[in-house]
Amino acid sequence: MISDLLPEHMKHLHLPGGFQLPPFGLHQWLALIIVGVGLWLVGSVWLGLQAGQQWVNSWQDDVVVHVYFPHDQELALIRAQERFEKWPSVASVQLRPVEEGVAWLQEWLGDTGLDAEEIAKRLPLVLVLRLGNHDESSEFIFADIRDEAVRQGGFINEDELLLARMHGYVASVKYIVLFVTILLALAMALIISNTLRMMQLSHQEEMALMRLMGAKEWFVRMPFMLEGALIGAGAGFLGGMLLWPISWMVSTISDHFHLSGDVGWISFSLMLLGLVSGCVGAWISTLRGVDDRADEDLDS
Amino acid sequence: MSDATALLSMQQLMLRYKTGKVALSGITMDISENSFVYLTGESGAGKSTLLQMFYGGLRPSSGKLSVQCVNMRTAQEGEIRMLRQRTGIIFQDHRLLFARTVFENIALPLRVQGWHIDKILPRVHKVLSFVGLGDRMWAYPAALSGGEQQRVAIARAIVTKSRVVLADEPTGNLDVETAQQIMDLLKAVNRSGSTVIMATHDLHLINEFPGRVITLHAGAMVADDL
Repeated sequence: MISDLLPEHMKHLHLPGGFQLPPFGLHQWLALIIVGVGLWLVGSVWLGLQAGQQWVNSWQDDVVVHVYFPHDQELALIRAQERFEKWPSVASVQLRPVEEGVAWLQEWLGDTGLDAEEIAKRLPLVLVLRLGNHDESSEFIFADIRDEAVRQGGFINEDELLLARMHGYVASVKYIVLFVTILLALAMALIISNTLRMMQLSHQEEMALMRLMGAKEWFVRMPFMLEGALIGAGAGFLGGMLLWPISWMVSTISDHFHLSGDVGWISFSLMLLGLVSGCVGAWISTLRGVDDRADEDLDS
Repeated sequence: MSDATALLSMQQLMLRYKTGKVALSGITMDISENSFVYLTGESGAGKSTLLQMFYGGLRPSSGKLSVQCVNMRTAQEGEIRMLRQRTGIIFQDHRLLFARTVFENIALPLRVQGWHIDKILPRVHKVLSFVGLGDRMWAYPAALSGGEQQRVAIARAIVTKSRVVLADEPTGNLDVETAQQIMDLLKAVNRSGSTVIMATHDLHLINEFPGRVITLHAGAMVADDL
């Protein structure tokens, strides 16, 4: 009986309101692509940050600071060694054996015919400091090491300190990226919101009629909420999928540094972020203006 | 004066806009179930405004208005929504959705009320057959004549078996012959048990299709031809 009433070209009936999606047109696809690319950028930055953190952590577990003394300052070196050994934040203090330096130098010089031992005599004496339980709370340890080294007549490698402080810099970058992510998520929510606003304006009469027929507000707004969620989740999926080629392209470099970015987890997070942005955008779009059209007069 | 069994009851009904302009004042009358009522008067007399008040589009400033046992001054939004589900509305410009088929237009009130598609289809077909458009279910309104479009609007208003049908100048844009067809349909709707309240200033139609005539002038009721 019912199939008799349905024409052949009409397989699916899309009645407005409730749990039905409005037609998915060009504007929605455009919004999905724009938001998808935005989320892909966010994902790429997070992927980079994750790799950076892994790289920093790989050598931050064993932070070593070298303190150099002129080769004729052996007494000062011993004095400094005794003082550093008393520091609780310094796990170990080792005097690098001269033989080690000679062996390394000989290998480096190769068969040039130069005498490594003679050259090694001119190299500075080296104290190797290993830091224990190093974290952001011990931010002054590097300055203290520098001060003590200078006080005893030695010096340190400033570039080495910069690398040792990288953990703190990465943490700061993480906060900046988080802030930018929130800003971009809001921007993406507004893009979705504007797309849905256009849809609502084109369905203005339909929405007004539904209200005149006694529809509840959730019934009128639900299709747009669903559409916002779909655009957001779709964009998140797109952004997540676009991360895989990036990951594949940089795999040679990342393998070299033993870095393994968790693309799957970031893709999943992007989908969630997209979904939330879509829902927020849909909510914003239904907040403005639509209530005012609830009761259009009969003369309109 | 007030009849306890009246479907619509008004006592000293007044509507004043925020601008201070008084749109309706001192309207006292009852409309009983299954009656056919004309609201007539010149343009701006308050016919459309009064119809709007009957479905909660406007709330009274003072006086009493009871529609289908709902006090329109104190009713909650939920009560207004339920009232609207029991009320069919026909507009002068019919307000059909031109991007949707005749079926989708008529199915809209049923969808709002949560009907399943399996029940919507035969119901819409039955109502369309009643208004003589059984074969135009899958057409778009743009492909229909003005009279056919108005018949679709009537079908949309009666598809939920509304107790009250409000019609705001439904024949205003139609020629005499088509207007008579529309009036025949509205009379048939009335005979099937719905109360029809129709705003019009077409005296010929009132003479040809008798009913109770309430005349408004400048927002006040000046005659009630029971």
